[in-house]
Parts: sequence; structure tokens; C-alpha cells
Amino acid sequence: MLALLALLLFFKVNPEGNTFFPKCPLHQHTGIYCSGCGSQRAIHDLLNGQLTEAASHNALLPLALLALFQHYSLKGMGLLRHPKTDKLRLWAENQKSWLTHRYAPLVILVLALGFMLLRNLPFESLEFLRP
Amino acid sequence: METNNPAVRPPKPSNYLALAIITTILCCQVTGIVSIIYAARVNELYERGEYAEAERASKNAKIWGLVGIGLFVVIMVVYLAIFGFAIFAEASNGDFNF
Repeated sequence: MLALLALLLFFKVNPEGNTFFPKCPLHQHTGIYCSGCGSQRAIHDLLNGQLTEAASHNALLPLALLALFQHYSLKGMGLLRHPKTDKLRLWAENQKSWLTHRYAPLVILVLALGFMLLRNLPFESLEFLRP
Repeated sequence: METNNPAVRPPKPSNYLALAIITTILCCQVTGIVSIIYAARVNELYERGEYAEAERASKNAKIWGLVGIGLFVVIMVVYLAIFGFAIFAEASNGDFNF
């Protein structure tokens, strides 16, 4: 219920230019962009179907949501217990979630930290990575 | 006794990677990253056959992931307690562009 309300809020209201959305304390105090910066704006953009806008606010967020979606939809299908859905369940059980790959944690770690590093390097050509 | 014989491998403990990602996105970059590191340790230790160690890393990954979620909830509650009134005032003034 709360999650739905939050989604509605993010759908309707653009965090850009609104004062009441929580700001990242790290950025406020240090000026550093972490790899989560811009994700509220990106969620707003995604809910409104603007993928490129979302990626320009936070390039990793759509990827992360895609991985989570894949992971949890496979998991959800694996929970189905009705005979009519057996085919779907068996198919899902044979699929591998990307997150179960042996090197998935390392790849994600490198992506998150690398993204954070690149966003904070003072080169103009990296501007597109900043939120 | 621990052994590398694949025939007696215990099931791989969960590395809670999805939880770690959610924590990283929601608020808590730091605990999320720690959780991801433990997730990597789980995989590494399990592949090396150190199952008890992998189990411990799995527990740590879970704890750090949950700490992040907990922090998020606490921050949200505090935030709403402080700014809740302001938000409702703004809403009733019609400053929301609904």
C-alpha cells in the first residue's frame, strides 16, 4: 500500500524542482555524487516512460531495476503451484537469474564503484554521467 | 570435515545480492557496497570449498543488506516526522502539480 502510494507520488511529481523529496545527505555535505544520485529523478522518468531521460539522471538505475525484475519474476514464477502453470514454472526453474552468476557480485561492485568514480572526475566529457 | 569432493557439496548459501542491490539503490550506498562485497565472498569461498566460511559470509551479506533497509525506514520515518506537516501544507495549498 505504502509502496503503491510512493510509486504514484514518483509518477505524478517530478523530484526536480520540488523541495520536499529527501536530498542525499552525502551530496549536500560533500558535493560528491554517489552512484545512487539521481535515482529519484530516474524513477520518475521511468514511470513516465522516458528511458533516455532516466539514463541521463542515473545510468545504472535502469540496469539495476532490469536485473532485479528478472531475478524476482523468475523467483515468482518458481512459486506457482497450479497444474495449469506448471509449464511456466518449469521453464522459470531452468532459467538462470543473472544475479546467481558466479561473478555477478564482482561485476556489480566494479560497476557501482567505477560509476561513482567516473561521475566525480572533473572532466567535462564525463558530464553525461552526472545526475 | 570440509571437503572439495563435489559429490558431498552442501547447497550454496544465498549471497543476498538482490537485497544488496535494493539497499544500494534505496539509500545506503555504504552498507549496500559492504553487502555486495560479502556476496562476492560467498561465491568465492563456496567455489574454494570453504563452506562454513561461505555460510558466515552469507550471514554478513544478509545483515548488512537488512541494516541498509532498516536505515532507510528510520530515515523515512524521521524525515516524514520533520517534514510531514510541510508536505501536507504544500499539498493543501495546491502546490503539487497533480
